[in-house]
Amino acid sequence: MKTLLFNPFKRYSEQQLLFFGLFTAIVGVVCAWLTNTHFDGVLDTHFGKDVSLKTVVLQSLINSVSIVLVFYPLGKWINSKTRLIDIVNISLIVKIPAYFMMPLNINNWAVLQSEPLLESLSDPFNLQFTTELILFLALTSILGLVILTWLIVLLYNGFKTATNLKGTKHIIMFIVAIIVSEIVSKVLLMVL
Amino acid sequence: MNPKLPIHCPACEAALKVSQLLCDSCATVVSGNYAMPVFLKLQADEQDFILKFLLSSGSLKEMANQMNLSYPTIRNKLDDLIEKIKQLQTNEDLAF
Repeated sequence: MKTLLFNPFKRYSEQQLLFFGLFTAIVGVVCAWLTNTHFDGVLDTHFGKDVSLKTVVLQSLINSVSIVLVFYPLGKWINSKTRLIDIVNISLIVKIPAYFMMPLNINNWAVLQSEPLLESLSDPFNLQFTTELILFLALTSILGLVILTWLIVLLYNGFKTATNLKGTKHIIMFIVAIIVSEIVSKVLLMVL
Repeated sequence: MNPKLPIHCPACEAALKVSQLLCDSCATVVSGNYAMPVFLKLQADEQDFILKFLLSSGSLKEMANQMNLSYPTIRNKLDDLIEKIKQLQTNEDLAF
């Protein structure tokens, strides 16, 4: 179970991972469209209103392309035997944790809860902390942290398996690559 | 039970050498100071990996299927093993 959740790349073949990754990506896109969820960046999850199917498809594609664009050349540099299919699979599988954020915006719950917060920006002392607002803040912060950690662990384990990454130098480059892929995804989202 | 061949000294962790060989049929004992072959200096699981590699005609994909592991995991194990053998050979060359 631990391998399945945190390092499926160790055990499952590239075909199994690709099939599962594509399947979850399609399900994820449909659910993101139904719950008005934006995946506007490799590490980002935001909620909105009336998010179009075209937007979620584009965001999903850009996230995967950004990961491949950054991690494949780095992987090749670390180990010339790195395969494109393994990096593509990583780009699809690492987004799975983020899909667990989507239930928070069923019936626009997260957006409705965040509205008083946004309105109180000009007058923060007037903010009324209702039970629902506290629940929303607790849920989004805890779930957000757990999901971000899970995503990075998956990304690290996947990249480590694909490249046989070792040593502090490679780990630092991996961390830099996460930041660069986030920037690339943001730039591509702005341009396209 | 098939006892594991010790490759390191249990007291100081240094690499062990062969000092005695026994003929199982006539009980002749040969004494000397022989270096352990590189293959025997590897851990049991590493020796097993090499045997599996040989028996699958060097097909990492077949090995991955047999061992229920992914292709890159097997390839990484092989690369690590190659590195270890190169290191052992270098150490051996330096010893002579």
